[in-house]
Amino acid sequence: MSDYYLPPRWSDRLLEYFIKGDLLEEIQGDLFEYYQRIGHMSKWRSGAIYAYHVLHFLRPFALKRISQNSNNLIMLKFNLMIAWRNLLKQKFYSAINIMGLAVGLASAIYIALYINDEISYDEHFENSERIVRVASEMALGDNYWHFAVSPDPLAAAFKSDFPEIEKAARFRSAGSLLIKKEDEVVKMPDFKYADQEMLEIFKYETVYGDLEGALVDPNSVVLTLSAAKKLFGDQNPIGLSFTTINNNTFQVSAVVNDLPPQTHYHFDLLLSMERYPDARSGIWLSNNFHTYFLLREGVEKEDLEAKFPDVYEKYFGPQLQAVAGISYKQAMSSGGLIHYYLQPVEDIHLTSHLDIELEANSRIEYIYIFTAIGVFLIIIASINFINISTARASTRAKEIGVKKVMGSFRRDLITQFLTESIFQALIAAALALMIVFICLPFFNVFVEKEFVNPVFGAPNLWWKVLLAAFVIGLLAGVYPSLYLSGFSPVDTLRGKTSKSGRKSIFRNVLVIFQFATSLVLIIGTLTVYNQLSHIKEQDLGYDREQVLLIENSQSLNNTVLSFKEDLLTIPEVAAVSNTPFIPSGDATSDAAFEPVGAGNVDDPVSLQIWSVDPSYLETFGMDLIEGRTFEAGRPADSSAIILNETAARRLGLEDPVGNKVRVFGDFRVAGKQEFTIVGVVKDFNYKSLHQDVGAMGLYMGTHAGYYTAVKTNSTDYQGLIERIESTWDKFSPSVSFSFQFLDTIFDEQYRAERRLGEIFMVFASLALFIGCLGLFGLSAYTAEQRRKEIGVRKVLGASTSHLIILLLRDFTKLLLIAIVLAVPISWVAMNSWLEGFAYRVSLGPTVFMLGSVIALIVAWFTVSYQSTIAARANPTTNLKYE
Amino acid sequence: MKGTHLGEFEEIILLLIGVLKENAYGLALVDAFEKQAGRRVAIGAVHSALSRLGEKGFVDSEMTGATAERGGRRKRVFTITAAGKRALLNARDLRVSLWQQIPDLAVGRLSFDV
Repeated sequence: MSDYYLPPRWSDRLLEYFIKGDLLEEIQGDLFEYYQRIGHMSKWRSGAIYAYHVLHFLRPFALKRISQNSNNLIMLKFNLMIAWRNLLKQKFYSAINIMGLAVGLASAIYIALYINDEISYDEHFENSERIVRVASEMALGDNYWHFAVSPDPLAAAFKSDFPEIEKAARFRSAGSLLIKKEDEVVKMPDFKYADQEMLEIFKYETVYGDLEGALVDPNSVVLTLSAAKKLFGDQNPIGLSFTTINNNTFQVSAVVNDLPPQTHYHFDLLLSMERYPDARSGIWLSNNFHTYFLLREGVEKEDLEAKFPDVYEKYFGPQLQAVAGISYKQAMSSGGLIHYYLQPVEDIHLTSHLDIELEANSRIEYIYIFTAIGVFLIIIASINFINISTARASTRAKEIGVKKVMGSFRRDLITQFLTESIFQALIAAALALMIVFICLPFFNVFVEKEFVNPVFGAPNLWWKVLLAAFVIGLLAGVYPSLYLSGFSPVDTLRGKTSKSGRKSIFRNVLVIFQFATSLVLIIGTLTVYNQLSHIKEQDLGYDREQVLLIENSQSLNNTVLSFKEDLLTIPEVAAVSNTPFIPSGDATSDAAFEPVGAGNVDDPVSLQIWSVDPSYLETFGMDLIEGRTFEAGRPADSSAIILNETAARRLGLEDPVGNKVRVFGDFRVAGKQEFTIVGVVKDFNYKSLHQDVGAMGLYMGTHAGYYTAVKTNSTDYQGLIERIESTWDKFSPSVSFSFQFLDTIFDEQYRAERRLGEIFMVFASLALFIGCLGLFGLSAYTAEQRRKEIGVRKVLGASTSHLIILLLRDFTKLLLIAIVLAVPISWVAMNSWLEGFAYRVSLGPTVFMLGSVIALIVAWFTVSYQSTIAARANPTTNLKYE
Repeated sequence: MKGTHLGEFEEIILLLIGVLKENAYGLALVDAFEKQAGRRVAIGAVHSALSRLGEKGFVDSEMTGATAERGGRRKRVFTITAAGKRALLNARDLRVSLWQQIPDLAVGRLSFDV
C-alpha cells in the first residue's frame, strides 16, 4: 500500500458516514484512484482538489441519511403533512398567526428598504471614503455660529499647508438661474459655482464631454443630463451655449449624469468659480463656501484636524487686528472660538444639522427608531404565535399523549411542533413578499422615495426573508414546542392538562409586552401630532395666511416698482412687497453691528440683515412697536434700519429710535457703513420654530428681489391669481408666472416632522392591529374554554352583560399593567424628541390618557366580540357540549 | 417508475459507456467525458448521472476487478441495456428530424448569430 498516495483520513470517514452502503465501495475506489493522479502535488493543493470531489458526492442520490428511505425524510414529510392538516383544521387561528406575521414581516422589509437607502448616501462616489467637508464652529463675544460653510481662502490655504489634502474645492450655492431659450425663459432651480477640483474630487459620471478642465474657463458650464435635455433636447450639447436673462453667455463643456437621490446635494448646472468675484476676496471672517477635501490614501481625518489650530493665528490674526482692532490672542482669551473640523461625506446626510446645509438632511435617530419599530412589530407578531399555540395546548394534549404512548420521543415531538411553526412562518414570508410587491407604490408615495420593487430584483431578498422567517419560526416555536412536548402522557389521556398557573403568567407577560409596545407607539403618534398643531398655532409675529409669493421677480429688474403699483390696482390686493427674504424661507444673510455712541455692548452683535421695501411690514403683517417704517420718497431712508426687539436689546439700546448703528469692522452692507434706526419691529420668527428668534435688522434694498409678496383680503384665489398672472405677463412675458403660498412654505419646513408623525401613525396602527389579532385569538380561546362555566352561570341567572364584563375583566387587568409600563417609557422618549424644538408643547396627561383610552377601547372591542358570542349562547348548547 | 427522459449530460454518459465498453466505470467515464466533451466535471456528478441512468433502467452494472491502485476496492462497470439503446436511438432520431426541418442548413446559410 505504501506505493500509493493515501487520501486524507477525514474523507473516508465522511464518506462512510454519509454515503449509502451499496455505493460506498465504488465511490471510495474511484476517489482513491483519482487521488493517485494528484497526490504528487503540494499537500494543500491536492487536499483542496480532493475535497472538491468528495464534497460533490454529498448529493441526494448518494446520501444514506436523507435518501428516500431515511427515517428523517419520512418524518419531515409526515410532520409537514400534519402541519398542513392542523393549519386547515384551525383556519381561524392559523389565519391570525400568518396574517400578523406577514404584516410584521412586510413592514420590516419596507423599513429595511428605507434604512438601506438612508445609510447609502454618497457612497456612490468613487472616493467617497476619502472625501470630507469642512464644518466651522465659531464664537466671538456673545455670538455663536456653527456652519456647514467656511471662508473662501480656506480651501487653497489648507491645501498648501497640509500635504494630507490631495484636492480641495468649494461650492457656492447660488439659487436659480433663468435662461433664454428661443422666446421663452427656462428656469434652472439650482445652480452652483464650483472649483475645477470639485469635479476631480467627486468624479461625476460624464455623458458628453470631459471633466478635465471643464470649469477652468470663466464662461464654461457643466450641465446635468436632465438640464441638458431641457435646454438642448436630445442632441450632444458640447460646445453649444446659452444666454441668461441678464445676457451672460455660457458654453457647455461637459454633461454629467444627474446625481442619484442618495446624495446630500444636487445641482442642475455648475458654473465656473472663476466667474464668481467674491471667491477670491481672501476674507477669513465671512463664511460662504461649502468646502470639500479629498484626503490622501491612509490619512486619518482626526490627525489632520489636530493640525488645523496651528494655522488659525496666521490667517485670522491680521484680519482680526485690521477689522476689530484686537489680536488673535485677545479674541481667543475673551471667549472667542475658531474650530474647523471635517465631516466624512458619507455621514453628512444622517448626522449633519448645521446652519446653511446644502439640502435638508435626515437624522440618524430616525434610523434607530425605525429599526426598533421593525423589530418590535416582528416580536409582537411572534408573540401571537407563542400565545395561541400554548393557549391551545389542551386541544393538542391528547395527540401528544397518544404519540408518547406509541413510543414517540420528546425530541420528535419538539421537531414536529417546530416544523409546524416554521411552516407557518414560511407561508407568512411568502405572503409578506406579496404584500411588499403589491403595496410598494403606496409606500413610495408615503416616504417620498422611489424604490424599485425589490421582490423580483433585489439580490438575496428572498433568501434573507426566508432565512428570517425560518429563524422567527424557530424562535417562536421553541417555547410552545418545549411546553407542549413536556406533557405527561398519563395526564393528557386522563384529560388533565392543568399546569395552568405558570403558563398563563408567561402568556400574560407577553400580552402586556405587546400592548405596552403598541401604546408607546400610539402615544408617540399623538405627541408628534400635538407638537405639529402647536407649531401651527404659534404666534409667529407675522401673518402667513393669504400671502401669495410671486417667484422669479428679480427678472422684473427696474420695472418692479410699476409692477407693484399695477398689482395694487387689483381690488383684492391689500399690500405688495418685493424682497429676496421671506420668513421661513431659505435665504439668509448676516453681518455684525455695533452701536454708535449710545448703547452698551462689549462685542458686536451678529444680525440677520435683510433687504426689504417700504411695504414689507404691512404685507407680512408684522407689528411695529416703535418708530416708523421706511418711506419710499425719503432719500435718507437708504441708510435707515429697522431692528427687531432682540437686536435692540442685545445692542444695549434703551431708546433705539434715532440712534445709529455701524457695521462692524471694515465691512459694508449695501455699500453703507452707518445706519440710523427708524423703528423697532416686534420679534417675528424668521427661521423655524426649532430655534429661538435671533437679532435682526431690516434695511431698504435697491434691487428687485426674488419674491413679490401679495397680501390679499379675498379668498377667491382663482380669480385673483388669473389677474395677477395677466399683470405679470405684461411686465415679464418671457418668464413664466409661478407662485407659492407663504403658509405652504411654512408647512414645508416641518415636513420631516409631519412625515415622522405619519410613519408613527401607520406603524402604531399596525402594531395595534397585530396585537389585537392575537388578543382576538386568545379571547376566542378563553371564551371557548369557559363555555361550561358560562352556561352554568347563565342557568343560575347571570345576565349577558354581567358575563361579558366577567370575560373582559381578565384582559383589562393586563391592559392596565401595560399602560402603567408604557406611560413612563413614552414620557422619556417623547420628552427627548421635543427638546429639539425651541417652541414645544408641554407633555400633559391628556396625551397619555387619550392613548390609553384608544388602546383600551380597541382591545375591549376585540375581546367583547368573542365574549358576546359566548355570553349570548344558549346555555343548553354550552352545557351539552363535550 | 420515474420518467424515462434522457438529459443531455445523461445522454453523453450513456454514449461514453458504449464507447468505453468493458472499461466503463466511474473514473474512466469522467476522463472520457473531459477528453471528448472538453469540459470539467466533478466525479460525483458522473456518479449521480449513472445512478439516475440505473433508476431509469438504461444501464446495468457489475462489480469487478479490485486493484491495488484503487486501494483494494472493486469498480462498478456499466453496460447499456436494451432500453438504454432505445432511448439513445430515440434521442438521435429526434435530433436528426429536427435538423432536417431547418431548411437552409444543407447549403450552409443557417445563421446562428441572431
